[in-house]
Amino acid sequence: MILGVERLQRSGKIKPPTEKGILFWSAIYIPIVVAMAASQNVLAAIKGGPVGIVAGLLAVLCAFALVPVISRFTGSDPKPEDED
Amino acid sequence: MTEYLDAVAQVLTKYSLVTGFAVIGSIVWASYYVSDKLTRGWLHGSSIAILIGLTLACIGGLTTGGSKGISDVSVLAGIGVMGSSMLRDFAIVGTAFGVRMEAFRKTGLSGIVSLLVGVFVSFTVGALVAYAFGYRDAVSITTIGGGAATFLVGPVTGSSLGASSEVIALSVTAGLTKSILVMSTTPFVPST
Repeated sequence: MILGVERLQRSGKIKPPTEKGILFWSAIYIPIVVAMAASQNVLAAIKGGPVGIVAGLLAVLCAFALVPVISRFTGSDPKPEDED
Repeated sequence: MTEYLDAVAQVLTKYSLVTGFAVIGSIVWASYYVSDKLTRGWLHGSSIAILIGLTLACIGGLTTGGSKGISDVSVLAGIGVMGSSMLRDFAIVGTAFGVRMEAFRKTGLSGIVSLLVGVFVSFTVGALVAYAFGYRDAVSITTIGGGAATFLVGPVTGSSLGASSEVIALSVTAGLTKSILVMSTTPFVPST
C-alpha cells in the first residue's frame, strides 16, 4: 500500500483534497488512541500489578543496550529509536 | 438549575459521538499545549494525552464500577465509540497511507535494522515479563508483548485476539512507559 501511494504521488494522481483527507485520518489517529485508552479497564490493570511498567522499562533498557551494537554493526550514524 | 443541567446532559448524551470528539479533542489540544509550553517538546503531546486518557479511564472505573473506563459515564459514552476498533483500524490504515518512502530511505541501514531489532527485542522482553508475572495464556502474553513494542500494537493485537480489557490496558501502559522513557532519555544514551 505504501509503495502504491508512492507511485500514485509520483504520477500526480493524488489531488490536494485527497491528500488532505489522508492527512486528516493520519492525524485523528492520536485522538482515537486516546479515546481507546480512556475506555479500557484501567482499574483492573492497576490491580493487576506493575506488569505494564516493568515490561515497558525492560524493553527500553534492552533497546538502549543495543544502540551501540547496531551503530557499530551497520557502520553509520545512529538514529534515536522511535517507532511510535 | 438542575433542569438546565439535565437538558444539557440530554443533548450531550444524544450526540454522544460529537461529545466524545469534543472532549478528546480538548484533551489532545491541552496536552500538546502543555507539551510545548511546559516541557518544551521534551515529552510528546501524544504521550501526555494518553496518560490523561488512562487517568480518565481510572476515574470512570472508580465512579461507575464498570469495566469500560470513562465511557461507562453515560454522557461520555461516545468516547467508547470513538475508541472502537473500527475507527481505530481505519485511522491506522490512514496513517500507513501517510508514510513516505523517503523517510525510510533517509534513516538508512541503521534505521531499518534498529526498527526491526527494536520491535523484536521489545516484544520478546514484554512477553517474558508477562510470563514472569503469571500470565500463561498465549493471548495475554502476545498482547503485552505487542504493547511493549508500541502502545498502539498492544491494543490492536489484543482486540483482534480477544484479550481482556485489563490486559489491553496493561499493554498500553507498557508501550506508554516505553515511549515516555525513550523520549525523555534518548539524548543521554551513548551511541558507541
